[in-house]
Amino acid sequence: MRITAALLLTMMATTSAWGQSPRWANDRGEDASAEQLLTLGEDVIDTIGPATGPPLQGPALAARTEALASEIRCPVCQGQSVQASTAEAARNMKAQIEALVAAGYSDEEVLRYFEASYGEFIRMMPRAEGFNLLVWIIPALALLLGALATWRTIRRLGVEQPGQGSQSTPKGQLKAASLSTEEKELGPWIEQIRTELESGHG
Amino acid sequence: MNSALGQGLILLSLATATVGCILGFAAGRSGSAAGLRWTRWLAGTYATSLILANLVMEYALLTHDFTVKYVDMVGSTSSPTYITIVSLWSSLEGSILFWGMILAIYIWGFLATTRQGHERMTPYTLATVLAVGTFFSFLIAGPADPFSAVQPRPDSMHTGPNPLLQNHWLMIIHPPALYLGYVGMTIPFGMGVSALLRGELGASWMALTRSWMLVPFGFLTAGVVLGGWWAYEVLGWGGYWAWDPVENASFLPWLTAAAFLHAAMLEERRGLLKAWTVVLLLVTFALTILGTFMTRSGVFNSVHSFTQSAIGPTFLVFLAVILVISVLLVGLRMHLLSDEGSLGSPLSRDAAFIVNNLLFAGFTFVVLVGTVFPLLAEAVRDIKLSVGAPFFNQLSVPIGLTIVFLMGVGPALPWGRTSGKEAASLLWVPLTTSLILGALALALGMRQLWPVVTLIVSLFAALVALRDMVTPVSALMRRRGLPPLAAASLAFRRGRRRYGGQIVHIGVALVVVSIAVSSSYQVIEEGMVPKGQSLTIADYELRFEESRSFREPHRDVLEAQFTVLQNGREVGSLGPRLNRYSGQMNPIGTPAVLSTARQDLYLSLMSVAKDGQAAGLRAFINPMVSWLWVGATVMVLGVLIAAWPRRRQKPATKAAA
Amino acid sequence: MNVAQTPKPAISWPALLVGLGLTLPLLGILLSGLFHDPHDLGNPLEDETAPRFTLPRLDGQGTLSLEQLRGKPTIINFWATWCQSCPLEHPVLEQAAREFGDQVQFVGIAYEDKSERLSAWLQRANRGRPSAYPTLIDVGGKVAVAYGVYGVPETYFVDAQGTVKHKKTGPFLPSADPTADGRLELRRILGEML
Repeated sequence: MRITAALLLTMMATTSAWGQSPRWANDRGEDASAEQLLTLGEDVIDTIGPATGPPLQGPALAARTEALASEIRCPVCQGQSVQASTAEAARNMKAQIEALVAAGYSDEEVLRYFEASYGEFIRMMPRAEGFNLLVWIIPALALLLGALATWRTIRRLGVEQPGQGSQSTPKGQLKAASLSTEEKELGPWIEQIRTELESGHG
Repeated sequence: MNSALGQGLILLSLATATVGCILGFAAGRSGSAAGLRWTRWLAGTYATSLILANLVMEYALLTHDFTVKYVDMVGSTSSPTYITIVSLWSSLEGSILFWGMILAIYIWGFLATTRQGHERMTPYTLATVLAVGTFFSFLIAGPADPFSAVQPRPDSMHTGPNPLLQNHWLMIIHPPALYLGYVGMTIPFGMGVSALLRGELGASWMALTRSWMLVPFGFLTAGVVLGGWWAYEVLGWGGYWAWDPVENASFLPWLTAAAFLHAAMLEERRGLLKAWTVVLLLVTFALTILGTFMTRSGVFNSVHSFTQSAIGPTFLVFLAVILVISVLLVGLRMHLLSDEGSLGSPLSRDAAFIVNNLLFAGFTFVVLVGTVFPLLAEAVRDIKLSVGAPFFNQLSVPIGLTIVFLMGVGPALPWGRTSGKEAASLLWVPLTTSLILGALALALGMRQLWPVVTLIVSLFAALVALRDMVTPVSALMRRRGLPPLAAASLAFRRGRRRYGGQIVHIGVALVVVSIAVSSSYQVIEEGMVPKGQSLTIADYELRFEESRSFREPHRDVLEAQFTVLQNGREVGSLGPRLNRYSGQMNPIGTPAVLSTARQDLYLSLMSVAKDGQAAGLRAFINPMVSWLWVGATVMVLGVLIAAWPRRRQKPATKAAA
Repeated sequence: MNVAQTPKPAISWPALLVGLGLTLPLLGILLSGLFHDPHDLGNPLEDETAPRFTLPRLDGQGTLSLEQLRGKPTIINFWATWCQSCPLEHPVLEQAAREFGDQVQFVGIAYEDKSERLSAWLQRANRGRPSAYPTLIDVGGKVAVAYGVYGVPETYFVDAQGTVKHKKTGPFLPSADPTADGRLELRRILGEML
């Protein structure tokens, strides 16, 4: 069925049976008035209850709207936030966020409102609870274990193994074969400069 | 005709790859010289047949031979010629064919660099590379066959390649660069497998592996950044990196390749971490296949999942085979690659390199977990969720900055043992200088924490890199009394690899600062601008002059002209666009950018009111973005300098010591 | 070389365990991904109370609210004139609305669209006949957000008590193939609701 639909779409698009004039997206809906933009739907109060905070406006409103819009995913885009996207749906959602924040809803309430209809998918970052915590715990655990292994490696390798001490120079031992021409020629001078630097400050 | 010829060449490549693979493993076991000769010959034939197959496809595309399936899919008589040429990699089937050609070029290169010496290591390497080649030839011959003969569709259906490919010239070079990076990892993978199978990892083999890693690493760097640049120039949201699954997929092997390049130095200098170094080779290759799977399987919700095809399961099987074989190889053979040397004190370049590898590996793991976590959540909780930019930024900023800090500490310290006093004297100057400059930035009005920290850390790393480049020059001048230019040229020729590395570090510092500043200090304004009036952003005024729409061969364009005034003075005009391609429901924008060294003025057209009397505009000021591209260019340049083949000084007789 | 002095075991178990411990779960996760459609985003509103709304009618006859429709199962179809498959779906919905009109209530909600365009389009699509069901205008897309619309068309099935029972993403398309025929699918869902 999927394939039939896709084929149909392709056919229609190419023969442009329905395309009267090129229609430019992002300018599709009716322009909303300022009042329309700030009105909340009846469903809001059913979903997240009455607003508990004080109404907000001005720069504080803009700042919080932008921060929240970065946390909410644009449903018609691919992986962009409502803040980043220029799609009409995203701009509508941003206006909705602004209306909610202006009415005094908290960040968490706004997120819950969108989550009620779109699901957890709408959050740009998983809610930090329950199973989701794994997305932080797994990397943290891996980094911790890695750090432990690294520390042990440094400790283990730091102890010179018997039979090698004799070849060691005070600067540690380099594999002779790997010394580049530059190091053979310049090495002593660079060492000297380092010594000079050291004596200069010491 | 083209169909049959192409299919014949693909079958030839499949046959030579299969036989060459088997023969290569046999020759590796027996050490037979004749076996190696035959393997090399088969590898060469494999490469040639794939290159010819690509030429046949190009010919079919250019002559619009719609009886060839792929041409019927992506061809269009109305596309400009350059679009027709690049449509080779515009769709799944063609891109896998193109993949084959790049592998072929790398194989030719590898055959050339191993003409003499390395007789014990090359058979296994070629066998492994040809095993991978067998898989891809199988894909081209069967599941993703671009050559099969078809009844052409009506000409009205030939709408050309994916519009995203046609929208911007960057999309023409971004995929090949990325492919050159991805596919090139096959050769070091083969070399790593060979080292495990032989149970030896000599100095000259390591040096060769390093070179073969540097080349794809350079391309991968370019590919990743070009992808970001493309997103910036096309997607119109004012940013260049969204932590999209496929962007992540290209970043993952970059991280492990960078880890390898550092680990390889530690191995080369001190004989340490041999097994780990080889593991990084295997992981890097596996991550490129994972990336291909992510792009092509349609499993991930991504901008880049252009094609959803049945090829996903095939790739997953291939990935599984690679991973399991790699783990078994490492588990069974790594004891043969034991450490030979010892490490200096915890305050040494050696130790800094080990910690840097931990951080690279940790970074890789964080990005990988974040990218696949939605799949895990769906499998366990049966819900969809998003792991987006806020998550990745949260974790990558501290890890990234620690890496940059170590990028300063490591090169500042000598190899081997260092006393605390010596270390302090080496770090003192760059550290205090960068702190003073950071304080200066604070005084000049940089108020956010992370950008200031980034600036300090990057300056520190850049200063160390600069000092590391200047010190040998001044030493030569003083000791030999050479004039500055002669000393610099001598020092550069003697330490080209080190200079390359330090140039890369300076590029990284530029990139990191530019990312921090551009993302923290972005300014956005948007609104409907009536004709003749202006939108003001920072010290710019953007006056909407007029809009016009016109047809180009492959798209309809709607453009809005804006005159840009800075402090009341006219500095230019910008025309952000919306483009509509046939077969595409939503228009794709082309933002217009006015770049200066200090900042980009970036305009995204969102709409034009029906009568053309007003334009919906989103304007951004993106500070320092140009420096991101400059920094990336410096990085690629540095890689190029480090990878440039050395003139042969001594015959490579002591292969695999 | 010190290998001779301290012979190590031939198999490195830690490496094997860590390696398999990392790769097998990864492969398992990727495999599970093959069985999920990334574009199937489910319906969080299922078995929840349908969000209330009051919207102006396209035909200018005042407003319509969901509460007015209580007592009858309601089918809410989000659509637009710029959507490419909506024209194909429209006759299917019209037909069903005429057939089941006394038992269920169909409602269209225009998504990101303009009144004059919608009226002209409906005029043409219905060949001058009045529509079998009303279309409402959702300025600013607030109701679409309340229902969690990702794209058009999407159709929500609300039972007589006002509970969302089902959501259809994509169009109901006519087809000669009974397993793919949207007309039959719509009939089946309506049958379950009644």
